[in-house]
Amino acid sequence: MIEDNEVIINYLKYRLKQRETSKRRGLAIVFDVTYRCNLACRGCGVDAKRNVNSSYRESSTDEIVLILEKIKDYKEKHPHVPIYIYFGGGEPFMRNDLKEILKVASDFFGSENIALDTNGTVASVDEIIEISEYVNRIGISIDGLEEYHNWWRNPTNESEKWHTIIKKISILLSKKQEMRKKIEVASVVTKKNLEEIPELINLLVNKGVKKFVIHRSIPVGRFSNLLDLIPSSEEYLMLLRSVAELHQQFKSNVDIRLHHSLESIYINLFLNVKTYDSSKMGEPDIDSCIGIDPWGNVYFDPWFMTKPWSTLKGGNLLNENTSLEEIFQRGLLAIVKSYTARDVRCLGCRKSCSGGSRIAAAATYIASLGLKTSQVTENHILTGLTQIDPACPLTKE
Amino acid sequence: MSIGKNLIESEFIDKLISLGFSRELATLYLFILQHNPVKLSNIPTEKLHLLEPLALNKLILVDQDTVYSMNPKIAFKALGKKAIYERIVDLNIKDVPKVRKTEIIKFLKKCEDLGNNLQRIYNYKTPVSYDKVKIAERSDKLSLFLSDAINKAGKEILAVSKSPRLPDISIIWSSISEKLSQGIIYRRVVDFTEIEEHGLAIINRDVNELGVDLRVLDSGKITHKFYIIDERIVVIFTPLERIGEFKLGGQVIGNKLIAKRYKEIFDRLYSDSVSVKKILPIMIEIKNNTLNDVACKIGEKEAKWLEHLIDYGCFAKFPMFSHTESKKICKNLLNKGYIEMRNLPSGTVPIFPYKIDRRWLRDDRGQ
Repeated sequence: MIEDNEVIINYLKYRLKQRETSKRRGLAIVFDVTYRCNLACRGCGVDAKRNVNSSYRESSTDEIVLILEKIKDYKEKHPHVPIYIYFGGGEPFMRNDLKEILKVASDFFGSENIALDTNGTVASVDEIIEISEYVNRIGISIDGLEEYHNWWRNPTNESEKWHTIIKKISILLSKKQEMRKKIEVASVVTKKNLEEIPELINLLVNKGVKKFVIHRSIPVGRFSNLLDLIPSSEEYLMLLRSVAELHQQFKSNVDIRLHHSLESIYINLFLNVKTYDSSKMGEPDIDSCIGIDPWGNVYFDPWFMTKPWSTLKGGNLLNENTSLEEIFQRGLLAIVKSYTARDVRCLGCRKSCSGGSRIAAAATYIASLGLKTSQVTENHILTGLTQIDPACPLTKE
Repeated sequence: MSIGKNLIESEFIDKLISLGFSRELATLYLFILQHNPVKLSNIPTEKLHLLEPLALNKLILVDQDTVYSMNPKIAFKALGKKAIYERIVDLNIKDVPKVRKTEIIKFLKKCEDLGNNLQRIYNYKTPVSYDKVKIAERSDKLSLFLSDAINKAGKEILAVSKSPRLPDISIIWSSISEKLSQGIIYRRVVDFTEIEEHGLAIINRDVNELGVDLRVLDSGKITHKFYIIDERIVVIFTPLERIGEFKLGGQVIGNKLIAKRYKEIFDRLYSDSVSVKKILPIMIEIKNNTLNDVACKIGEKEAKWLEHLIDYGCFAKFPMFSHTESKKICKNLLNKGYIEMRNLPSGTVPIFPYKIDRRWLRDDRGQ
């Protein structure tokens, strides 16, 4: 596996250096401010809904601000812990108050610590530019070339289709120079789009995009019904090679990163660098990453916010007497730390990688049992967290 | 590795030898006890084979590259009880000759005294902690982890369980009985199979003498299998592919948040369950009717054998019958449909099935 891999090794060395110099440290918070969405992606990890019924209610502006205040309280008590907030959804622009929310967050934590993930189809170019002063990064989802992207995202009108969003990105990049630093195109890789990812990146680089992140398929939310689309460990290796070749082509002019769990496995296996660090809780670039859903519930992993995973929530920040500090003291962060311990994760594999993604390991394990969501118990989930990450090349399919 | 030859140690070595330890084994055990935990690399290669008998007798626990000594007070109590259970089940049993009973009491006391005294040199350190996860793939390791977790209880032990149960429960039961004697609350929700398998006399003792809050729930409703210790540590069993079935392996999880979640599950199952105290009179009635029936239709001897089985369930050893006689009675009662054979982790054993009406387990809403 390791022989004849100079391209891969060079790429991973570059990524390792970038990670080592990264300012991303501390506590990352993925805050999904809505589960409404104008699109209906086949594999939505939070099962966001295009049409919600009249009883659907999510946190009001005041409630979102209250949640942010509680995060700020924590920050004030722990000034040495950098906090980075990723706003997502659903489609966050479905909220009319998004600009206000981002402004408050930017005031509280500094725009350099705020990111936004959007499908880019709801907001206009001007609206995106307008909110850009409050964020450091704008992730826009494009999952492949035209046919695949439109198949995956189920657009209902022209403004939601691939060609419109590609055009919008071109305008954004040409209209404001600063956008080149802020826009990052995010793609979720599946068996069906794996081979077209390099072509997509080439196309977007020609439009001026400088940053790319390739997320992995994790069978949670609606993705749990699409097991056949999840790439094998060999296919993830193919992706690594493609990305490494693109890096060789673009050098450091373009940043392309794979999901941190994949990078941590590969950096350990190819470079023999220890990426396991019990203090990093599975996410090597940061110290911990939690999730908050649109109702203020706090979870130990942003992928754990839908059923059946959500039974293990840590508490609700909208409860008057609940603080983030208290939720952490109850053991929220300790869950991830415990399950990324080397003698626990990946069935006790002694390799010095970060253990990949615990949620991918757990979700794949539970999917393999063929249980309905209502049949999955906490015993299943906690057993799943100890399983092997299926993307690991050392795994036999 | 060296152990000082002071007087206390040599006394302990003599006492261990009197229990059947070799001098070499006793010396190694004392070393582990005093230096607990001990890295495997600190034990000479030629002594490593001695770990096996210590582990088999649940005096030590080998976790990864580290050897832990179990709490000697609990471990020796369990050792004594195990020896007794292998022979006669319970000291109160009828028909055990007085001489033999005295011998057994002496043996048990010897084990307990030694365990208590060994605590003086025991360096307390356990693998189970309040903020870590420990994996036990095998039942023997899970028993030791569970015992260790129970030893930490300061308030309450909550359990939800169903068949199959861990095969060697002596170390777990020793930990639980120690805690019960300290006034710790023990609430346990089980399926009716456990009640049948543990035997009427043992269930009666647990509930009415030891104060276990034992409750029964329909097996199909037991979707989780776990222990909670003081809402701080949870011991879970690994689920099998079939819903509601579990492996005899699992995890020990030191985490308050997970413990809180399991406490919610426990409370729900507890409120759906029925107190064993309500079922006991029905069971006693069934027992009496069945014994009368067997005495009339088959014979007194068979009734006596069956009474022992009903009282001691899977622990029954039938000391008042020869092996051949016991086997013959068992076959006869089996053929006539009074008993059935069940495959338990400890082996295939006869069990008296109550053919209880499952509605009894549903009608009582935990009042």
